[in-house]
Amino acid sequence: MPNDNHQHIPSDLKQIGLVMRYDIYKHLRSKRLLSIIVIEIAVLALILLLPPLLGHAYPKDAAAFVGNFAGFVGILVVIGATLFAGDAIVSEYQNRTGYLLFPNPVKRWALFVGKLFATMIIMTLVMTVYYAVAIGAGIGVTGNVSILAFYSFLLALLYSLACVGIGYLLSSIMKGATGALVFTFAVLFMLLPIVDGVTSVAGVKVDASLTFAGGVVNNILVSPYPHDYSQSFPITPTQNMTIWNYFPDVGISIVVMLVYAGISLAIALVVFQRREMLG
Amino acid sequence: MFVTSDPIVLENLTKTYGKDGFKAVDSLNLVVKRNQFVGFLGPNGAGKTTTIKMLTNLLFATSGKAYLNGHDVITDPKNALADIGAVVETPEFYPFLSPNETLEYLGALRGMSPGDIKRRSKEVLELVKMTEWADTRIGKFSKGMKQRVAIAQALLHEPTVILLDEPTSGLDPRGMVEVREVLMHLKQSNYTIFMSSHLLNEVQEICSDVAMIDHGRLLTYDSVTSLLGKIEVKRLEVRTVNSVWGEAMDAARQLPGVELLTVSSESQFLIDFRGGDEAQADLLLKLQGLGLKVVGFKESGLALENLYMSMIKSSR
Repeated sequence: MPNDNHQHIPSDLKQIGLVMRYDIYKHLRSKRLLSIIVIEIAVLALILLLPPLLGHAYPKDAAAFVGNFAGFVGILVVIGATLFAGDAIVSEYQNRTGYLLFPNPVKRWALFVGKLFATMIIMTLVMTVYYAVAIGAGIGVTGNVSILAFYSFLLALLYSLACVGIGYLLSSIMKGATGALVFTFAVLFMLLPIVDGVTSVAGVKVDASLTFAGGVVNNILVSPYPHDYSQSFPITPTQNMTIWNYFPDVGISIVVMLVYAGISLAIALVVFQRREMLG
Repeated sequence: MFVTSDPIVLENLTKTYGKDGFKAVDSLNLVVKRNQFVGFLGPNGAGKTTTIKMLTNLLFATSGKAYLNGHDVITDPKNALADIGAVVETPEFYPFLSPNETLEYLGALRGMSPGDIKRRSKEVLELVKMTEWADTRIGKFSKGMKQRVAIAQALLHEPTVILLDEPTSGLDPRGMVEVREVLMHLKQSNYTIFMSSHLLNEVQEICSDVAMIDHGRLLTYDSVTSLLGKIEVKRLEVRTVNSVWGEAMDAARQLPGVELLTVSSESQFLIDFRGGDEAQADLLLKLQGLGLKVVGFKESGLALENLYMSMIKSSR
């Protein structure tokens, strides 16, 4: 016999928690998490084992030691954002799971927030493992731990949020999951870094670039914090070539990453709330 | 007039696509009363699925209103869908979850307690004959198995209203029979059911009422009994042991109630007949009186099918 179910509907907050729990479950059971953990372990092993194998000494400073690892964080964030955010929204449409999920008494924004939280928890897990090994190894080698390593970790999480925002934005707009994954990766790994490189050669500092701002994750570990400089090389007897080296300002970078995260996630949410289950 | 307690109310519901303003659903008005089992009939592209999608928050209406249990689906989908079970198209499931895990997730979203979810999961999976696969990941399931799990999830929270979009579509004959059995079971359990279907025999057998649409517009909405009563001309298939010859056929064409007679083979012909059961019995006697050795005398096709075809034809 049927019931009246109105009195039992959970609050939006509780439903966010449920969506998050099952999305985390999805990631834990997927091969994607396994893949990124394998990549992470391989990179950590290489960074730890290569110096002694090549006869080089480890840095004696705790921050510089973690700095060796932080160079890969940007790539790890991009891979994570691609795998865990790139198709988070579009897959519900393309894989037709939306037909199962959307006719439930759950607001679209609650689904969105639950999914976002799940993605960020997985990203945090990946980053925590990476930094825990790096900082742990640093303590083992240098006997010290630098507060800068924790700053770098926090900035890595903020950079992750901004990249996840880009992933969600593309995922909410794109029609196909594969396209969304490829496009997310291309934007974060190629398009924006190319813009950074070209503008740098042209002598223009683009503070507003997300990937440029993301450089703060490893620069924060350099003590003292590096400043912009240029180098000139003679290319002909009468002509010099100047190369500019720009470093993101910490404060500006934090603002840039927050703005990217905020705007991209807001647009993604609006698109998701209006997107229909066609076909 | 509708009252707020009516489970499904559509008021001038319209869905327009594209720049040319193609109307998939055009000012549709419909009220489904409690405990009705309404079959929603129409040809491909008539607007059946679009209507159900608008009722389930999958598509957004261009204009008009849709209410479920008195709640506006467009402005308050959370409350509107609280007491609804739906199977729209053939949904896909999260391949990494088993039926039990899927039901646990959806049950929790709908506010069921863990104890209720466990009890009802067992019951609904038994009903759709999926108990054996309850803990197997759905990624490996066939379309028919997924459709059964889809029906199970729609019934999980014992909703008062069930929306079904061609629930037997894509199933093999055995699967169709099994789903039909489930639908018959639901009919006896006082649910309000709104089911789109292409299968007229399914609708005639199971539904209490029928709504027919074409080009997004409602053609008719009445009880199955009443609609069948409106059918004036039925097609009869007559089979004989002897060959049908011209003279007898000419005489048969003149018999009362015979509107059209078509010879379909050497020993078979079709009659479009106007008249009740008594007149139909008389017709048989008269055909035998013409020297035809009749071994088969039955209505050809379903009564509802004949009505459906005539209504669709006249709407085009």
